[in-house]
Amino acid sequence: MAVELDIPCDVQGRDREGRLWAFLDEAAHPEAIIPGRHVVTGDEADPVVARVLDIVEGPGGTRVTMELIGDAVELWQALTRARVVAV
Amino acid sequence: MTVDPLPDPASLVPIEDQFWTDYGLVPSEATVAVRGAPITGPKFLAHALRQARVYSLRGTNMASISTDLILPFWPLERVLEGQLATYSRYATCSVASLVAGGFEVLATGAPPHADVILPVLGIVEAERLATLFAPNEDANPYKDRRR
Repeated sequence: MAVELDIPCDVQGRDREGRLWAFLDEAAHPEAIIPGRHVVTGDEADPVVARVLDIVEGPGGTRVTMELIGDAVELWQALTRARVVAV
Repeated sequence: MTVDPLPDPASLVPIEDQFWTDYGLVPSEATVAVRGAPITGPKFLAHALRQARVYSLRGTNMASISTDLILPFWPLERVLEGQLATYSRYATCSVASLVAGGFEVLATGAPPHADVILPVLGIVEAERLATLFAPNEDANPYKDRRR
């Protein structure tokens, strides 16, 4: 099953404060991009989970800043191990 | 993903304000740049386009790829375990090869980050840059170790 990111970003290209950032117009699920919510971002090869911090209008478009939570598969493994989600 | 036209560079963040060395010069002891995978032209182009929507360089939209430099106090292992902790694979390229290929390298953001500048924002230059990194692609052992 193909990965469908909520919003893609370059995890290596963080801002000066170490935050992830992306453009809202690239979001596959723009309705999920809400400050405080968790989203799947990065790229399809190595998706990560991040928390949306802020959404700001800028000259280049609507920019979303996010705090990296961790590797998506590693988080899924932790949740299944703790039986928070079923396998 | 297309943005046409790109925003007025005068309205963007000058990358010159985010150099961590004088003039953004790469420290002489930094000989290698590291980039997380996928190492492909289309992926590099997507990254470069985002950069060009946010940052300016010398008054023009800055089309660039984020990398991290290997430094004496910041060895490859530290980058793989830190900045690239969520990447399964990565690739390296010497700074000399990048410069010889016509790609300017600037020390930007916070150490050891560096931007590799595309001379022109387009798939041809993005593919050419990917070709420089691709031969030295490898698995990131620090990611598998955590799983």
